[in-house]
Amino acid sequence: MLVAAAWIAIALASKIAAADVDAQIAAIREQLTRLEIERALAGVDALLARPDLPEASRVVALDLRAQAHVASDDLNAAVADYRAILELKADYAPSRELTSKRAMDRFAKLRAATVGTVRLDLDPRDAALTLDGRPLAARADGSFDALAGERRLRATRAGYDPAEVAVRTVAGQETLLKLSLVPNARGLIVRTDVEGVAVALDGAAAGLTAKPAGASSDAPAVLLLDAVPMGEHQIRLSKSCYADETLQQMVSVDLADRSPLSLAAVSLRPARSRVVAIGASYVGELRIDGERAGQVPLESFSMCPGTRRVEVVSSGRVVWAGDVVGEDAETTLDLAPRPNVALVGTAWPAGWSAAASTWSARTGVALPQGADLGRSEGWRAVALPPATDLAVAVLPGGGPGGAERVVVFSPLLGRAEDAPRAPAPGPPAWRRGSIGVTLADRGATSVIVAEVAPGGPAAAAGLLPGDRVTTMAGKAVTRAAAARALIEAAVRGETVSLEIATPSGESRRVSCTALSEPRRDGSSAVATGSPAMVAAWASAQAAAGGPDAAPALGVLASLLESESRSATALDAWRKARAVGEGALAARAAYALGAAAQGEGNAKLAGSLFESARSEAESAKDDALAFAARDRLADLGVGAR
Amino acid sequence: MRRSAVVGPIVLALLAPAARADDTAAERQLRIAQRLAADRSPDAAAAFQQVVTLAPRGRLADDALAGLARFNGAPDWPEELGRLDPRTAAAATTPLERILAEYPGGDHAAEARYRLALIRSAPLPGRDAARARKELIDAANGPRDTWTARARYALGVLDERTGESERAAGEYARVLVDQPESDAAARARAGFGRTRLAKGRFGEAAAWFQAAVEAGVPGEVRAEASRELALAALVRERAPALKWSALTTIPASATARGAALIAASPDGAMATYDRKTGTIQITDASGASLPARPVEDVSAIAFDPYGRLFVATKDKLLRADGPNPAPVGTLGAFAAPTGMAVDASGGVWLIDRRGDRVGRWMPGATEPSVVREEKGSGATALVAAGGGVVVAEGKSGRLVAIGGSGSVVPLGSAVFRRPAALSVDAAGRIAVLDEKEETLTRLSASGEVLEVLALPAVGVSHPVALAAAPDGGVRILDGSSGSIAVAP
Repeated sequence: MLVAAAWIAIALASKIAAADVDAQIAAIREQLTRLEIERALAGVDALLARPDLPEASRVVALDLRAQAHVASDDLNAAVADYRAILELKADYAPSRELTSKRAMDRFAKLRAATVGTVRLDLDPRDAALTLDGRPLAARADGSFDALAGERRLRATRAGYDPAEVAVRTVAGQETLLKLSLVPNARGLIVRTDVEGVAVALDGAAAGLTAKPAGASSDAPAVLLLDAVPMGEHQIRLSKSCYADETLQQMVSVDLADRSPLSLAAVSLRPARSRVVAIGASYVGELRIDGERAGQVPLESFSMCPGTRRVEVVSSGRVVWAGDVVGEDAETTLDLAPRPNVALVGTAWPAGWSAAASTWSARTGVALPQGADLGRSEGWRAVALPPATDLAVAVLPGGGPGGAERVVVFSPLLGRAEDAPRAPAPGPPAWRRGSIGVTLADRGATSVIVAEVAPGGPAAAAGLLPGDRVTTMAGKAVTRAAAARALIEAAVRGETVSLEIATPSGESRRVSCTALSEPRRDGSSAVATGSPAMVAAWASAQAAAGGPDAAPALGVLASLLESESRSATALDAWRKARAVGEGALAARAAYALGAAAQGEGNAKLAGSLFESARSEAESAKDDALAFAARDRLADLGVGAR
Repeated sequence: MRRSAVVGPIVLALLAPAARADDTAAERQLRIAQRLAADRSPDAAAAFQQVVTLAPRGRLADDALAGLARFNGAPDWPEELGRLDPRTAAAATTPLERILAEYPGGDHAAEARYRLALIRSAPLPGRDAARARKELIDAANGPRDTWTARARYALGVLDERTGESERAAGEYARVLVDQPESDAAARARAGFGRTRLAKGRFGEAAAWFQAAVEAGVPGEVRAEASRELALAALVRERAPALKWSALTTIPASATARGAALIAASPDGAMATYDRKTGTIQITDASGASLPARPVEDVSAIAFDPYGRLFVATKDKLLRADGPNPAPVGTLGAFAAPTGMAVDASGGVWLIDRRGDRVGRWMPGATEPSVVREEKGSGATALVAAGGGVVVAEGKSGRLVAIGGSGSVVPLGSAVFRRPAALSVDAAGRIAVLDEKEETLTRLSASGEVLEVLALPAVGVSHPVALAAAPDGGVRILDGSSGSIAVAP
């Protein structure tokens, strides 16, 4: 840190000094223009007295002083300055416009007596030169001027050993010199059958192969590696979706042929990672890195190795998105629909990472300053990506005691809500296990079978209303809610074992095979998460279709309805009517009927309510059947 | 007390007449009023009024009037109507009517319409059930909010209490389907359960009561007791051997000498009258005895659906649920009635001493009016059921149902030799005490015989009166011992 500061200080000081020198030179030039010779000379002397004066500035200062001396007709002094200049810059010549003929003659004599010319035959011609340690730029014909005497010429170039020779220069004469550098490296031309291949030489990136301009389409792509030192080198070729290739190449120098060594064209082998897809039973389009890659439903797909952006689009929106790492070994990916959740800010709330891993997460949305994100109106200031199902924001210091406050916003429901706890990972349970019984508490510790669904597993096992459930799955049953939770947690086909006592006192064990049935309303699904969260999952699920789309649509429509999002709720009910059956279809018909009733279309409303009533009765949904009957009575149809 | 003393000066300072409408001052005043109301301070009413005075056209004026109505006792739910008295009802009505008259487009109009309709349906003088129903229908069809759900629920309760059980089921179902997340939904679940109970569909009823309890329905709805009743009935249907075979007995109190009357409240309280001591003994829902209330010459006692105890003497009708029985009317031709029942509208049904006439006293009336007169019919007992009453007639030995409008239809075909007492439970099941046969018979709501209990066989030697507890059990008062046998 200190070193860096010192370096910066020095650089700054140098810059200031250089600016100062330039200003002084400009002032001196101005003084000379105004023929203030004495002041100009004093200024030059002061400048030349500075020990830190750069060599180029010293040449300029000496040149100005020579001009001053010429102007004051002090040619001897001018010649002394010319001499000092030539020692620094042998190819110097005073400006003819500013110098008198006499002075020019004196300079020509001086130059002829002190400067010679060297004509250099240099191989390679682009080698860098120094003369007596000073950088030297030779003329196009290879010649350069030098003070007479013994000089040290040094030539360097990448790929060659440096060379240094002594040159004896004679004033007023031309000296011939030949200097050939000995190569120690060679150019390599890497060639690949596809272009855009990244080439690394000994681990260092060297560039990409490219088709030469005008080359035919089947011509290899090339990359010139200049001045590769002698010896063995490793060349690694890599390109997305191709297997890496590594070449070992020995580089030697041929003094007779210094052209780059062209390597044989390498054919890269395409590489694919196999991904087994689960949960992809709906209809959609698979996209990898934005390109169409397949049609869902599918059981597996392949993709280029490395990290890929995988998306599934269904019903015009992304229902699954994530970065997937393709590996050599087969990987498994759950493509079940999931919500697009935008993070507003920089980091997920503490403890949310498990849930976030089950979403199609979007980041990079800035937290707006000054907006009250605790209220839905405040979210108007947030530019959310399209098809965002849920947004999560962490408001620093907005919670109790200055803790962070987490707010989620559902664009669907137009609802912002606090989220004090991390949500459970994964989707809400659109379905639940069932054995076709309704349980009720009797007294403090008894659980009675209140209803048995005709034809259901419980009925098949011989359960009857009035039976008391004493144990379930080996555990004593004392509360209906707990017993129901056990049943709802059962998956389809699972055996639920119960021990029951009949009203007459007989005990027996029964086993029921659980069914999986859709949840009938939104409230029970909502119980597993916030409305905003459940709506987000439901939206993705509903868009994807598939087996859970109908219950998800029902839940979504109920949530939209409860938030008075009438138009979108109605749209959801229409879809639910199309894909649902039984109680859900009846409920959808009821909602559509209510909308028709609200619009004054009594005929359509009556027809829909009648459908709702009849379907609800078939599905044993008493409340819905009664509600539809009551709606019909409102329309003057049917007896109550 | 201390709190009132602290806030008193603030209230008085803000009660000074305002020079101009000032929304800021009104807002401050409303906050004070709300705090006072939460503390049940008597200053709250004036504080609410002052909000309106400060800014009569301001946005908070109707908030203040709504707050005032609530503070004055405007009911939240139909189950609370029994708590209203005429003075409270008037105090709550005034601000609510002002809201509708002066702020009809405000955000409290729906609330005012709903609460006013509830007050109109309360068992009070001037009750106007038809208008209340019309206004509730109007409120229930308004823009969807908490008041539409409550109004729909209240319609169900009104329908249920007039015996329109299926119509009530439709109203409750509308709450459950249209607004399942509303605060009325838990009550509607219980209400729907009651309609299933009335149909004798005990399993379904139990399931709905269970759902209501799990949804957090308040205790005043009595869903748990109804669930017990439904499940007990369900279990008994399965096991005929269990039918009324196991009676328990509540021993007579130490002071009982001539217990003759019994009545049970929907909340589980029970009242008995001892003719020899001239006292009414009340035990609350937990079984604790309250201080005896001396009342002379009592001939009938009955609880109404709100838990208010009515007492008929030789010439007066009293309310005896408070510590001091208070007269509410005179009995006129129905002096010393032999039977009494009270319905949800506040109507007190009576049988005259000779058993020839059935009459009804309505709140605010000076005397009962005759609903049915049939000389020699020998009416002995009656219970409120389905918006009217069921009467036991000694001459024919039959039961007849008298509707609210006075219509009379036989109930079932069972004939009793001397039907002396009746009770009705929450499922509408009627228990008939036949003194001659010494039996207790349970009938369904439609009059079918469900079960018969031979009383001597279970040790009840001198049954004189019946009452149904909330769980459906029948209390049989033994006149000789003063004990109470409980037939579950």
